[in-house]
Amino acid sequence: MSLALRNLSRRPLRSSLALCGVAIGVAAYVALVSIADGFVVTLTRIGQLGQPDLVVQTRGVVDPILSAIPEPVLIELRADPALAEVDTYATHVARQRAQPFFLVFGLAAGGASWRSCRIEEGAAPRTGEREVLIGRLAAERLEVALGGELEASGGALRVCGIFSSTNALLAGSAVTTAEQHHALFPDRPLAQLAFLHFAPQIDRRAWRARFEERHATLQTLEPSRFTDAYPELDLGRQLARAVSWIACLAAAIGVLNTMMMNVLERTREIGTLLAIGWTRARVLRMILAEGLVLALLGGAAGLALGALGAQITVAWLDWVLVTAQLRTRTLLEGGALALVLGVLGSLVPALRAARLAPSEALRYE
Amino acid sequence: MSEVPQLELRGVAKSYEGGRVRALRGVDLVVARGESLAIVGPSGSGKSTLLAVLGTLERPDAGEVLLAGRSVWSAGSDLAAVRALELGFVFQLYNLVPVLSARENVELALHGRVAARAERRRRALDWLERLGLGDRAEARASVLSGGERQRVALARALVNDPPLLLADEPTGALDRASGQHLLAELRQLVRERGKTLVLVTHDPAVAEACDRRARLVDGAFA
Repeated sequence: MSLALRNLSRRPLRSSLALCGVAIGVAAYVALVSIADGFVVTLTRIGQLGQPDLVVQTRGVVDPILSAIPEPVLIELRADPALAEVDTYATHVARQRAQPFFLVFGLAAGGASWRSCRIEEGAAPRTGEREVLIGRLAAERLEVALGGELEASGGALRVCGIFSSTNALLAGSAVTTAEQHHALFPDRPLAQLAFLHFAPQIDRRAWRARFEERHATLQTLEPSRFTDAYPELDLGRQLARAVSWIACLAAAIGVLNTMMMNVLERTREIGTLLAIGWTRARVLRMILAEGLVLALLGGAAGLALGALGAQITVAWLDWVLVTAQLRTRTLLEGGALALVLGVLGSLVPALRAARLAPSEALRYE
Repeated sequence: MSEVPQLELRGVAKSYEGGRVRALRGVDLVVARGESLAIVGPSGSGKSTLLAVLGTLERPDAGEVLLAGRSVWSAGSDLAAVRALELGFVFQLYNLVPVLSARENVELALHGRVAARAERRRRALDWLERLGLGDRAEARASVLSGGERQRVALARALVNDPPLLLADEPTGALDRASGQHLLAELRQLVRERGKTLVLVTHDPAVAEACDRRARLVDGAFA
């Protein structure tokens, strides 16, 4: 380790640039994956509105916004004695200047989600009026006060009240009743999702099986696994990885270039080491160790930079739906990525060094 | 029964560029234990190639190289161990690692041979002391004088206590006084510790200081 550091310190600028390359690659990975994961967490909160036992949606939809629960099914669910409560949700994306994905929820009046919104200022929306309640977080971000207006298709929405909620997604959105929502946005169904709360001592597994048998076009989801039904979220993660891999490829080339130059410049020295009895394996390990030290230092910087970068990006975008979720797994993957970069970047130079003919290396000018 | 020579070459030949350049042409050589031999000859006569073959750095095209009676190129021979334990190299331009201290440079020859760091350090310091560099042990190689560097290189060559020392123009890059000082040390080591020394030199004074001289011309001893 000490020898590797000393060897890298011979060309501080070159080593620093390679280190920066690794740091940027790892930082890009950590930041982008954290933001993708943050998006998943935000959407998972949809499935946890009102803390239900089960979520019902249209089978196979790739986004909850595409789901629609038929009204007869809603009536059937509400009449089912096995269910203590049936909550519903519909949503509309009302693009604001500062929030391109601003959500307006239509919640079942008096339902668990609705009850989780505590009105702090103003009053509930009046029937037939283009009025909504706005979450405290959204009001602050959009700088909208009581009586202010939100942009929406079909005309502006007046803010009739400001509420607080423990659900960050709701707090960063606007809400109204399901009926009002359907009236404001007729293209949206009355309920896109239904959140079911079971009565005590109900065999939930049997109930689910019976329900899905009766309604083949619908599916039930565990709230904690709500986002598993949406492949587009995984696509987001994969896209984040793909973009960061481009940065990582550049980093690997940076390490490769640095290590190749190091080996080339030290050809005579490597020849000397072989002449005094170093094995080829030891020479290989020495060069690999240098690459790994570069990667470890760059990786450590990249993890810190990535964590910070994700927070800065989220703060800069200032969108309610975009948050950063820094997971231990992402940090471990970032660290592993740095090691892979170190090995990939130094393997070819290390093999080249280990294969040098000592007499030729000693003659190298 | 006569003593096994420290070094023996039997009909060693080496050529380059597909045989167009014949560097060594069937060289025979015997060097006894404790003997010092100077190989002299004009530039391009094959001296460096001969030293590389003696040091197992080049494999001869034909012939045999025997160290203490054992063929170094026989199957199963551990060349790295031979280079570390049976040979000590001293190069004209010292070939030290500039970012390492004198002690660390000497310790390089012990890596993979002596596992304990403290033991490596002790042995390196011991040799530096013997060669009058005890107070310069922690100085970086890049700040040492030419004479000091060559003594560090000598310590590195000797730290595994090999029976055979190979030196390529060991005084070639030194001023006269430093060269004479190093030569005196080499001779003392050969005499006191029973080392065998084979050196390549252009300097008649260095050659004269050895027990025997062999002149190489066009890849063969004249």
